[in-house]
Amino acid sequence: MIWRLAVVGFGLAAVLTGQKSDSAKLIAELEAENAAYLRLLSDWGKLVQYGSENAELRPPAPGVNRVVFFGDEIFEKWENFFPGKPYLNRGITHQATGQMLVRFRQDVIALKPRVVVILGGANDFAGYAGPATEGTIGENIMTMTELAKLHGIKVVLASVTPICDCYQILSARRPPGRILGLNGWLKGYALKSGAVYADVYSVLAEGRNMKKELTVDGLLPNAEGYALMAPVIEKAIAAALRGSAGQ
Amino acid sequence: MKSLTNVSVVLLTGLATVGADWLTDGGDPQRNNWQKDEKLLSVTTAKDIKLLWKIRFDNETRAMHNLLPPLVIGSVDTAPGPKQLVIQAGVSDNLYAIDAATGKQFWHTKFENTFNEAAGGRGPSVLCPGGMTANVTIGPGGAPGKYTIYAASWDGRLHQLDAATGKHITAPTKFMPPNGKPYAMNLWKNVVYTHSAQGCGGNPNTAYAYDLATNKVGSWGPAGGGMWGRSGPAISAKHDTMYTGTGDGRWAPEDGVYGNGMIGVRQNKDTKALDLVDYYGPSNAEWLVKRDLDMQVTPTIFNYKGKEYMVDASKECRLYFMDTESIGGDDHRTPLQRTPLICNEMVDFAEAGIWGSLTSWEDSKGTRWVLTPFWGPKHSKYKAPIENGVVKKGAVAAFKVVDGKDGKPSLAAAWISRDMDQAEPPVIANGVVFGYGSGENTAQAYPDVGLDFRAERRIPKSTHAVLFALDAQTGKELWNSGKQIEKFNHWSGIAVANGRIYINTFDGYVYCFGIQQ
Repeated sequence: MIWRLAVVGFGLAAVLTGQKSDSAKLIAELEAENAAYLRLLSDWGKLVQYGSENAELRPPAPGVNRVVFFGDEIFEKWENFFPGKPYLNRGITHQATGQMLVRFRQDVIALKPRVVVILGGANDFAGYAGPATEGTIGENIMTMTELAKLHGIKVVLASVTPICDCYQILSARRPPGRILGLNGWLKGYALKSGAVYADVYSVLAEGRNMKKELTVDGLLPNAEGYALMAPVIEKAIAAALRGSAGQ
Repeated sequence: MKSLTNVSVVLLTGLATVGADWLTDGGDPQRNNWQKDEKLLSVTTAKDIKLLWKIRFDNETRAMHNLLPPLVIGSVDTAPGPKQLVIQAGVSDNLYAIDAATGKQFWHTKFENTFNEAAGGRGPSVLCPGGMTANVTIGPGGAPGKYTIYAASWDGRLHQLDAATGKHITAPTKFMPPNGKPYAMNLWKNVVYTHSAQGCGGNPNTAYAYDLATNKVGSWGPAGGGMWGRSGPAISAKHDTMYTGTGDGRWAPEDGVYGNGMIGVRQNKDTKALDLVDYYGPSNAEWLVKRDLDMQVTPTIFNYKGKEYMVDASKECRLYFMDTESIGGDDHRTPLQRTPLICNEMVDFAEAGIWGSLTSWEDSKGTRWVLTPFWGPKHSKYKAPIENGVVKKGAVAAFKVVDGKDGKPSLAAAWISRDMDQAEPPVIANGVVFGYGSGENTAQAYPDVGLDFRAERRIPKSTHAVLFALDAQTGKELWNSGKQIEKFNHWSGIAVANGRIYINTFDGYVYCFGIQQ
């Protein structure tokens, strides 16, 4: 937060020194920044994004295997999301695992799915919700997994997707080594906890980087990338429904 | 609301026309907020609006409340002769009449209070201020030029007063429990309707109907949510049914609980009891109650192509378009239409959303319009064909009723006004929309102190009201009152009649703006 305060201070100083031509723009930017902080403060988990929509859903009909995809922008931006399937997308852009944990009851448990697919952690590394480590991410993932099990929901843990610096520099905030390290922990924890691990990283990566031809910006998969992820996750869901864990 | 006596008044005295009344909150029992008889105010003359007079009353404030929305009788036969009177109720059991021509007090009545507030209580609060919270309503008297004012005082008694003198026509009678926070009363076919909310005074939230012919009172409670549409209930002329939104409660009709929805209750002609006849619960009612997004707006009811429709709204900030034949369809959860969210992207229970009442009118081309005020910024995904600048604190949003390809009518976005600091329910008159920003600080929670909606915190943070005149076709601003109104108002409203707009403020002033005749 310190750098942000510095920006605010610099901005006010600029206004005071009479740079009137820029001041209106700066004030607008500061107001927008302040509004963003207020939003974050008043709704840390962003419960408002799906809360109303969730309330309109009835419980799944008998025999319907509802699945919730729970994560960040990798899920939220998924176009052509499993048409015809009883799958619910509950991804929220820029969200870290601590925020996901806050909304786990509203956006997962309350929807009574058979399976939850959890994908998160990359935004923790990027610092969207403050400092984070593999340790803090792991604790959040474990808590979500335990909550799901407590409510009879099968868990699929998806690997964090790779990034590349092919359009912009992303690796400074999402170091590929940390992504690999977290994925290794996720795989091990899935085995230990009875969850199913869905390795979507491998179908998108070449070495330590996202394949350029599979991404729109180095972070988000493109349609082709999502098309490669889909069968991996479908297979994991099927395994979870069968009860065969630790894939 | 044509005053039958006015024609004769003009003929006999040669006075300037005083042809319009504003006899109840929202202007009519259907709560359309439409002054149909306006002739002087127009898109052309709006620029000439001036402050004509202001008057201050000594009505004691209770929490943030002072004066209720003003009402207007176009011509009352008084001892000195016919007068246009502004009837102004005050929360501290006061009722004033102002001579509209001079801006001077014409009479004043203070109701005797038979309710003894328990010692050591919490005293007035913003949610339960005590006092006379229901705006009065006015009906015809026994002869031309005679009018009767119906008022419910703090002690729950119904008063019937002669509008010419402010004197009681009959002795006050028991209407409802004292200190129950009823809302603006509505008179329909010799029955006075109201409803209450917030459980004030320990009273259950209840809809009431007082039958003036028999003095019998019917009541019905939703067993949960309070009914706090500020302009009170709206009455369906077709079904003789009182409609209101409910708030602060679960939607569980299977258990007899009707919170966060809408109810329609009708007087039983034989017993005079109120019976539930229809209800509607939004399909996301669970979300609404969880986030305190009450259905707390007074609906508006109107005819369109020979059928009767109703529109209501909520703090969630969308409109619900309903057919009064069956407001929620077969499953009581499916109205004709739910609009997209207009505002309240942050799901704020206090400083955003739709509050108060709605407005509906039909223009000269036969287009039916519905207007809503809203608080807070416009929703980022909501777009109107005409937008009049960035909206940060509130605005008026206008819709047209249009026919879909399937022949079903629906609401289509038309325009959004300029920014207004906490936009309040507008009134439409002769092609001009009169809206206002109350300037009230409506915050109820703060990051540093948590929940705090005390008047002591909110009053110093409030500013002043600003009245606006807008072109009803486009929302374009025609005029505003600038800084002429010195204080904010809370839980009030405006009235428009005979070239004048009336607005009051927290410090006890009534302002009269208009065209100098």
